[in-house]
Formats: sequence, structure tokens, C-alpha cells
Amino acid sequence: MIVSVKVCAGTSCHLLGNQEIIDVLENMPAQYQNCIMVGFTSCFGACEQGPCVLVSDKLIYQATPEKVIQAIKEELRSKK
Amino acid sequence: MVMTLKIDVGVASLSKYKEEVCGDTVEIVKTEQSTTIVFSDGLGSGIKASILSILTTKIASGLLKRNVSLEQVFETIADTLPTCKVRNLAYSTLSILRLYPDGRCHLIEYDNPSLLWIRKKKPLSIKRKKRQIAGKETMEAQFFIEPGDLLVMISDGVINAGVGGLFRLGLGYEGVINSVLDWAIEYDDSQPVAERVTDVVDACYLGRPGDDSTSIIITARNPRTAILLTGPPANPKHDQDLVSKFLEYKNVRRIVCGGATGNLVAREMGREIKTNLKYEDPSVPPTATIKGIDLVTEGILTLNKCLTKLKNIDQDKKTEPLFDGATLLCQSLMKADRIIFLVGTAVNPAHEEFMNSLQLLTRMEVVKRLQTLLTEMDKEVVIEKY
Repeated sequence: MIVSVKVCAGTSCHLLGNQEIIDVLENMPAQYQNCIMVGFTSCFGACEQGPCVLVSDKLIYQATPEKVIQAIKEELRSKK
Repeated sequence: MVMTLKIDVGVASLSKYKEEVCGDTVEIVKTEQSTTIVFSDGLGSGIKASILSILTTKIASGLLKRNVSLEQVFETIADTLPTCKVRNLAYSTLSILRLYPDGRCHLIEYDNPSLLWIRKKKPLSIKRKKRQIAGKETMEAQFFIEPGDLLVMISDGVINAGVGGLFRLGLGYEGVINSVLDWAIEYDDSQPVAERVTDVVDACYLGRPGDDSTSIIITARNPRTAILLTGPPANPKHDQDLVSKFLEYKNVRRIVCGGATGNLVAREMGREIKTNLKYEDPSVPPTATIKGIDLVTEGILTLNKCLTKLKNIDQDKKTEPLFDGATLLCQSLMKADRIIFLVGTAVNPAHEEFMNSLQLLTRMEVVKRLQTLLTEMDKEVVIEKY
């Protein structure tokens, strides 16, 4: 089972720290590596609340690596 | 309709072995009415030859800028420059080629190798007439070029490359034509072709050029137009009109700069926008793709970075090719002869805070500065606000 993770790469999200989230996602523990598919997206239209990350169909505003990992874990649990 | 050709000129020179300066000089005079190439090869080599050829081309280009006819320019130079009393030779050679936007060419040559004309990979002959100007026997020609034609102006150092060494009689005209054709397939622009030809010449001389060598590649093509859409319009009701306007131009390179703008274009075209999976440069957000659009980038950061890159284009001699949005945008703008900026003026409140703290230029300001820079580079730039 694969969880889709889309990080907004628009101007605001880039400046608000999406790189930190990308770094964490690219260096996830091996057990998660095969369960997530990371991609970028242009703009979710919520620039004031960035960085924005879409985990499956759940949009996370003011995302942090912790929030994103938590959402991925929840998604994986719910799909088991 | 009158044909408007774009003339692209590339120049590359090699100095004679152990000489620090090249005795060949090239001047390009561009006006709205014509592009004129003045080429002179000074007698001998080194500083003396260099000063002689610079003197010749500077006088010629100075007169040409004042709209003096080619004949009068030739006369003035022939009357002004003395001949070497020992060898009874003119102190420098001279070729002047004037190209008009309708394809008309006027050529006067004095003592230089003949100009080469290539169309569809085949050399064409130029009908020349002998003409006495101020007591000098010159060759004159008038002819018409078409889009895709290549003209090659060379010094005798190129023709004679490798003489008595690699080749018995030197590279020759045929060798030059073959080199030009080999490289013209690989490059869209004249400059790299001119550089590759001098590389070939250098190789023929086994890295020790026996004479100053210059290759001038002139290509005629239809003007390239790029249309760049950035920013959503101030009134969202105009989204459709703006995208229609963006798509209505034919045979242009289409560029979209901006995340929201990219979404808007994809939505109006009924197509998917896919953001690329890699940050090529950590300071520039990744590019995206929309079928039918040539380049899709992020907006403000990419435009600002592109402006910086264009400002430093002469110093920026990186050997590795870069694929970040700003570099790709820069390349697209450099390749175009005419650029139309469609600038949406909607303000993204989230951006305003960053703009000041990061000293970023606003969309309109960066576009205006790009316009100034690109105009200085001899490009026609139009800005339309929405």
C-alpha cells in the first residue's frame, strides 16, 4: 500500500521551509521508504498557511516534518 | 509581406602561436536598417597587425554608423591607409558585408578569402564583379539570402591551416565548408559554430597556429518569439481571456512563470500540470510541465534569479549544463529575438511580507528590469498588463 505525499513547491511554501520537509521525506527510515510516494505540486492556493503538504487527500497547513510524518503514520494505520 | 530576417553573427579568433593578440579584427554595426560586418586582417601578426586591423575596422564602422555608403567607406580607407613600401602590400585587408532585413546583401572584399554562402548544406556561388575603388581592385557582389542560409567569412589563416604539415595545401575552402556543416547541425546559434571552426583550425595547426585565424559565421533566420505569462490577472473574470491571448500566438515559445499562473493555464486548457520531482537548485523551486507549454516555472523567485543570471551572463561560464527553472528561463529569453510579457497584476498577500525581507523585486519590477536588460541585448520586448 502506497501513501501519496505531495509537497507544495510554490513561492510561499518554498520560502516557509518546504525544504526541511523534503529532506525528512527523502531520508525516511527504510520501513517507510517503500510505502510513500513523494512528489511536488505547484500551488494549493493557501499561500498564507504554508508550507502545505497533501498526504493522500488530507491537506496539512503550516506543515512541519513532525506533522507530515504523523499524517503518514495515521494514513498507513487506517489503510491496514 | 516584407521578409524580416534575423541576422545572427558569431565570431571566434585564434592568435598566431606565441603572439598575445590577434591581428584580425571584426566590428559589427547594427542599426534598424541593416547589420554590417567589417573584417580586417592586418599585415603580419602581433601588435602591429592588430593595430592596423583595429584602425581599419574602427574607421569603417565609425563611418558606417554615420550612414556613409560602403563605397565611400572603402574609398576613405583606401585613401587613408598607406601601403608597405618594402613589400608593396596594403597594410591590411578589408571585407564589408551589409545585410538587410529583407535578405539583400551587399559585399565588398579586398584581399581577404572569399565569403562562403551555404544553403541547405550546399555551397552557392556568389557572382562577384571586379571594381576599382580608390585605385584598389576590390570584388563586389549583391545577392539575396533566405532563412536558413549560412555565410562564412574567414581570414587566410583559416584557409591555410595545417599547410605543409597536416595538409599539403592547408584546410582550404572545402575543409572549412565541411567543418561548418558538421557543427551547424549541432548548434542553433552562430557563436558556437564559429568557435568550433577555430578549434578545427587550431587542431590543423597542431595547437601552434601559423597565422592569426578568424572565423565569422553569419546565419539568417526568421525571428524567434517567446511569450511569457506570469501572474494571474487582477480580475479573475479575465482568466480565460488572458489564457486565450497567451495561446493565440503561433510559432512561439510559450513560457509560464508562477504556481498559481500554471494552475490557471492548466485549468483553462483542460490539461494536467505536473510538477517535476527534483530540485535542480535548492534556491529555485522545481519546474513543471503542461502539455503544449514549452516551459513552466515558479514565479517570483525564478524571475528574480533569472534577472541576476542575465546580469552576470558574461561571467557565468559554467561548463556543466544546469536545468533549474531560472537557468532554463534565462536560456529561453536569450534565444528569443522578440519577447512578449503578459503580466497579471493580482497581488498575492502572502508574498508581500517576503518581498521586503528578502529584497525580492515585485513581479512587475523584475519584468521591467528584464525588459531593460533584454532590450540592451538587441531584443524587442513588449509588456502587457492584465
